[in-house]
This record gives sequence, C-alpha cells and structure tokens, in this order.
Amino acid sequence: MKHRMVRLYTVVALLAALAVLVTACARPPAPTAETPTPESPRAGGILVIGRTEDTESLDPHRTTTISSAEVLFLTNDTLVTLDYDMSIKPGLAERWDISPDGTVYTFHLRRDVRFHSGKPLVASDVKFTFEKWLATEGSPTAYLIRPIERIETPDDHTVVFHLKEPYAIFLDNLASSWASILNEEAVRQAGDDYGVTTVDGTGPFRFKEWIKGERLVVERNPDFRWGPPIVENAGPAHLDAIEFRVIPEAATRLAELEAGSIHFTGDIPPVEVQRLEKVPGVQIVRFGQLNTTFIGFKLGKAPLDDIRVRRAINHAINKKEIVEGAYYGMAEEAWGPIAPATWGYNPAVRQIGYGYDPDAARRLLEEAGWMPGPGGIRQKDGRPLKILLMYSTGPQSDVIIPMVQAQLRQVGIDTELRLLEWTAYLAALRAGEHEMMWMWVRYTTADILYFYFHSSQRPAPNRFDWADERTDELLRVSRTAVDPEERLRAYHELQEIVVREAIWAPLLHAQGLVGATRSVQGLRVHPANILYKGLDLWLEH
Amino acid sequence: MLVPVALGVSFLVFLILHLTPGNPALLLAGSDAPPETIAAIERQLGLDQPVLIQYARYLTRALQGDLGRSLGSRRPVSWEIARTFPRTLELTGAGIAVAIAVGIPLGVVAAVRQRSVIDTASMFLALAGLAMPVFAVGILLMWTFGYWLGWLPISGRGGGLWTLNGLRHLVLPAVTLSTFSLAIFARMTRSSLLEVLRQDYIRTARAKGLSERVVIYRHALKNAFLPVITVVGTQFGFLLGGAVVTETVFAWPGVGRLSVQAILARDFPLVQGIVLVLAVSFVLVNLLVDLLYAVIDPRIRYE
Repeated sequence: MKHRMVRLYTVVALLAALAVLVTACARPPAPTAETPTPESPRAGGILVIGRTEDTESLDPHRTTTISSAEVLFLTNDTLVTLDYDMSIKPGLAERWDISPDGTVYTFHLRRDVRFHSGKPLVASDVKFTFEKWLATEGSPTAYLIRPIERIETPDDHTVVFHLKEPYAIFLDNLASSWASILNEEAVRQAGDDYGVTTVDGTGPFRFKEWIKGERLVVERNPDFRWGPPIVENAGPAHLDAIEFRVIPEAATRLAELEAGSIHFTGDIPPVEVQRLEKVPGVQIVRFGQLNTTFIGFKLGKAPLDDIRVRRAINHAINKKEIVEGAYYGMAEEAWGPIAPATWGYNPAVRQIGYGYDPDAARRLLEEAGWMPGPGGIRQKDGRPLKILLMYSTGPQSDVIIPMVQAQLRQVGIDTELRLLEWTAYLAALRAGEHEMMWMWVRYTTADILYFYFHSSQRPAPNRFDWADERTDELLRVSRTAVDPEERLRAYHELQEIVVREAIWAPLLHAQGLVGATRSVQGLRVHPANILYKGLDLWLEH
Repeated sequence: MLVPVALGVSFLVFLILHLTPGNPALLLAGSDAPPETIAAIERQLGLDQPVLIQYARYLTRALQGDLGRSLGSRRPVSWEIARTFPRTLELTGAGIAVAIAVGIPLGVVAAVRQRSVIDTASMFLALAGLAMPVFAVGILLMWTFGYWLGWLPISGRGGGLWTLNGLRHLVLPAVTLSTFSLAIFARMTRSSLLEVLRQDYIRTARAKGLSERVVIYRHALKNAFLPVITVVGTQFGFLLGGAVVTETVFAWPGVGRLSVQAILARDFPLVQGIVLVLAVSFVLVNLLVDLLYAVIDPRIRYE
C-alpha cells in the first residue's frame, strides 16, 4: 500500500511540474499594438541595442571588429562617405581633386566642424590621423592605406595625399570606420588610454560611458550640423542617446527584444524570422548585404587539380535547396564570387556559371575517369572518389555542409567532413591541410577579388593555389587604373576566370536580418554598417 | 599548497594554450589582413619566440605581480580581472546562499520525514535540478519570470547589490546557478542525516527521553553537517565554473563570460590570468572549509 502511495505521489508531482511548464508557455496578449506612423520625427529617447559582443577598442587603428566600427561611425566622421548605392560622397571633406595620373588626392575640408571637446577640425588633425595609423605597430588595418607616400597640409583646410602609385580603391578605404578622423591633441594627451577612456570625435554622438562587457553609451552631440549628404537629417541627431548592451546569448537577446527592453538587435537566426514576424511590436528588417558563402578548392591536390571534377562538383550542388533549407529562402543563389549589388559585378556569371545538373556532373566525372564503384562511390584505378571538406562554425554552416555532402553523394562523391574551431580552422587552412573548404565573407568592394585570387595572397587567404599571370594583371588594373570603365572591364573578366576555372563552388549571398521594436523609426540599413551615423533614427512614444 | 598549485596550473594552461592550434595574431588582424601584417603582430606580441622562453618571460613578470596585457583590449590583465571577478563572486555567493538556504532544509525535512510526500517531492526536485542543464533552467526561468510574468529583469546586471534594481537583476541568474548545487546539498544532507540518525548515540539520546526536536537539531545535525560542508566547498569551485554558462545566458558581466571570450579570441595572457585567479580562489575556499571543520568538530585540530 505504502509503495503504491509513493508511486501515486510521484505521478502527481510529475503532473504538477508539467502543469507549471504548460502554463508557462501560454503567453498573455502582447502589450503593444501597431500604431500609424506619424510623419515627422520626434526628438528624444534612448535607443537600446543588444549585441553579441562588446566593442574591442575605439582607437580605430587597433581593431577590426564590427562592434567597434558601429560605434566609431557614430562618434567619428570620415573624409568621405559611402552612399547607400556604394558610391562615394562628401564627408568632412566637402570636395576633392584627383591628379590625372591618380597619385595626388587633394581634400578641401569643411570649415564648420568642431570636435566634441570644442576644438575646430584642421588639416593637421587629418595628417596626424593617417600618420598615426601607418605608424601604429601591428595595426591590423594599416595595409588599407599603405600606398600613401606623404601627406601635406598647405593650409588649415587643405590636405594633400601623395601616393606611391595610383590606388583606385583609396576613396573607398577612406570611407571606412578605420579612417575616422581623430583629434591630435586628445590622442596625444590620452596616450594608451585613447579609445578606452577617452574618445574625441566630430561625429553626431559623443562618447559618454563604457563599462566593458556590460554597456557602452553615446549621447547626442548638440552642435553637430555637418551630416553627410546621404542622410535626411544633417544634425543634430533625433535621439538623446544610444546604449549598446552586450547580450551574448541569442535566446536572451530575442526575449529582451520581444519584451521591448531593447529596441534593436542584429544577427537574427533565420529559423526565428517566421515566428518573430508574427510577434506584435516587433519588426524584422531584411536587407541586401555584400557577402558570399562558398566552397573553395585546393587546386594543387588531386582530384581537384582536374577542372572536370571541380565543374562536376559545381553542377552537383543544388543551391536552391541550400537557400531554402539553411536560410528559409532568405538568401540568394550565388553564381560568381561577388554579390550582384557589388560595384563591378558581372551579370554574365549567371550564364557561364553552373546550374544544378547532376547528369552533367556524372558525365564530367566519367570523362575524368571516375567510374561508378561499390556503394555508389565512384572510383578510378581502384581508388574511391573521396574528398575532404573542412569547415568551421559560421552562419548556418552546420546545415549547409551536411546538405552539400548529401548532394555530392548523389553523383558518387564521398565527402569526408572535418569541423574545426575557428582559429584552428584558419591555421589549418594556412597550413594547406584542406582539399575543399567552406568560407563566409563580407566585403564592401570588388577588391575582395584581389584578397582571394592574387598570387601574392597564397597560402592564405588565397587558399586555392591560384597563381595566374592574367589574373594578377587584371587585379593590378582593378586597383590602379584611373578610368573606371577600365577597372570595370578588369573586374568582369576576373569573375569570368573564377567561374570558368571553377576555383570555387559559390553557394549563396545571405540577406541581412535585424530585429527592432515597432517604435524604432527612420531605420535604413547602410551597406557599411547598419546604423551608420544614426542621424535619421528616432523613437516613437 | 598554494604556490605549487598556482605554478602547476599556470604552466599547464600555458602549455595547453600554446599547443592548441589557433593563432591570436590571425584573429587580431582580421580575416582581411595580408601575411606581413600577421607576422608584424606576432613579433609585437612575442609570439614568434619558442614556447618555453615565452613562459619564462611570463613567469618572471607574473612573480612581480604583472600578469601582462590582454591581447584584445590592450588593458592590463589584472585590471580586466579586478573588473569582472567581483561580479562573479556576487553571483556565485548568491548562488551558494540560495543553494544552502533551500537545499539543506529540504534535505533535513526529507530525512526527518523519510518516505513521506515531502521526501518524495523534494527528492524529485533534487533529481530534476541535477538532470537539467544550467542553460535550459536559465532560459526557462528567464522566459517565465522575465518575459511572460514580467516580474524580474530578463538579463544584465542592474547595478550594486545594495540597490533594489541590482538585487532584482541578481535573482534569476543566482537561482539558475544554484539549482545543481541545491540538488546536491539536499541529497547530501538527507543521506548524511539518515546515516547519523541510525547511530547508537542518537538511540541513546532518544532513550534519555529527549524530544525529537532536540535529538535532531542539537545532536544529529551537527555531525551530519561535516560531509555537507565538504561538498559546499567543492561546489563553490564548481559554481565558479558553472558561472560561465549562467553569465552567458543572463549577460552577466563576470569573469566566466570574460574567460569564454578570451579563449575564443586566443587571448593567451587573459586566459592564463583568469585560470590562475580561479585556481587560487579554489584553493583558498578549500582552506576555509578545512578551518571550518575544526570549528564544527573539536576532534579535528591543526598544529
């Protein structure tokens, strides 16, 4: 009797626990309702942003992380500005001249700009900024401006850059957050503390508080009037302040967003989008991003030294299935190395690229001598067609890679998967341990082709053993030609080479996904950084 | 004891970090950097030197109280730890307090009322606490009390613990962190107390006609506590480890989260510093436990 009682109690206890769980899952109606958008922006309010990692440093020459860039764009300005269509517009420089041979850039600075400390911006600050950048030992980004030979300041509002050789992407690089203009006085005074406890910029927001690992706050710069021409509101900003909170766990970030305790967060997992779009009070913004997910081949290793095998793999991969399966349609199939929105994209890659055609893949493999073998795996001279595919954790890679493996299996290729932790992965690739490799890359210009395919970039990031004189010549032209048409032609031919030679199997270009509460208005995603200057943002009551 | 442990731990960690693949310079440079940049960063960090020389340099400086600078933030490691370690102590302390305050009474009641409903229910709870992973407990509590009921903040640290907001932010992570230890304390207390209650001297006490209350609380509990205290000591170290997950789930800016970031970023000096501090505090807590024995059990005396 006693025993039965105990069992009964256990059942009751279990049921009670279950009941708690079930009631916990029933959510009361959402507090916020959709309201019609008023026309004019309202001033005031603190925009709270949840993000995965903290800013590394606000010294622009000592960091490469996106979480540093997004704050630098708010606190600092650049000489020129990247427009939404990727063209270059004025910034702190109201105009500039380029010498006919493309080696002398003369910038004319605005005269109304002051740093947060009150000091007016003068040409010597610009000169100091770039000289500091070049001189920062171990600066991870100084290579972006290496062609600079010397800088002159004929007067307080003119800066002249002399380059060693023409450098076509110079202006693009000057628009990056790492080229933020600094106040010479402030940097000299703060020394090593600059970018940690002291930040002085000309941007629409002033550095207010930074508790590392917790939050970083910037507040409106009330004197700001020099917003770039690409924004509607030239300044000052509508928002009182922007607070960045570090919330590493995705589930926690989403809970905070749904509860309305943060207004904005990036990195929404694609799997959550459908659900979040139904949550009242939350908006999901999808936007085009310049990124490519691809499989790269190590051409120096058999059987990938045979172009027929590389083309067969390209034909065997069903990109559409991957876009649906891994991204729920929130991505675009990739036909060449760069995304269609990139300046220099060659639309012809759509025709010369490789569509899903398993029969063509099988044909190519047989031409290459790989005949059907036991277990459906092809073989040649008694050797099975087994290829190593290395990858790391990255956007949806845990879904994409097994799909690729299954698709290759359909045409008789046995893919051996090897998953490595990110730093170990980079090291293994550098050591050339891979045959096929997965990668995901973001970029702002087609110069990413130089990064991956120039022969001097071996063994990494040119991890494909690709060394070709024609490629190198085209890449030289793409960087140094003064005529944009000439550069465009070079970029077009480069993409054709990459596709024809099947150096990669391009997979997809993923959409960017951000979540915001419906109270966030004026959100227009900028290609360099989502919030960019934050000037048009405002909060509804 | 402290010195050999600290030395051993620091050497082991140094060796493991340098033997695992992954180069911090690659991460610092970003994936866009050309090889010369990476080499320049390696030189600057001294990573181009042999491991043993790097360790010797590290040790020399560490003995002078200089744990080096974080590769990521370029701030002194001691500054990074001083900033985050107290936050972890807050969380761990609160976690242990909850575990003791709930777990031990639960165990006592379960033992005294052996095979009762309370016994079954509390042991069921204890089993659940042992079986559920910390992050699952955390997310469940967060959605229930932070989101649906809206009683408590979802994540983050709300300020000093002397403020109401600070305390409110502490509740969910502390309860989450406590579940595993709470379960252990409850089960340990119950079995230890049951063991003691079967002893002869308890029978003697009862035979003397002492009330059950006095028998249990005056005579039995004191002896049942010895193994429990040992477990509390080891659990403290365990909680410092468990804080890694809890701090990540609740965005609690403690040393656990810092260590995860440091490991992923191959921030060698920071990882070494954190492990060293954790090892030393673990040894110190064990020392404290040993001293507590002496207080509780007069038969144990240290020369």
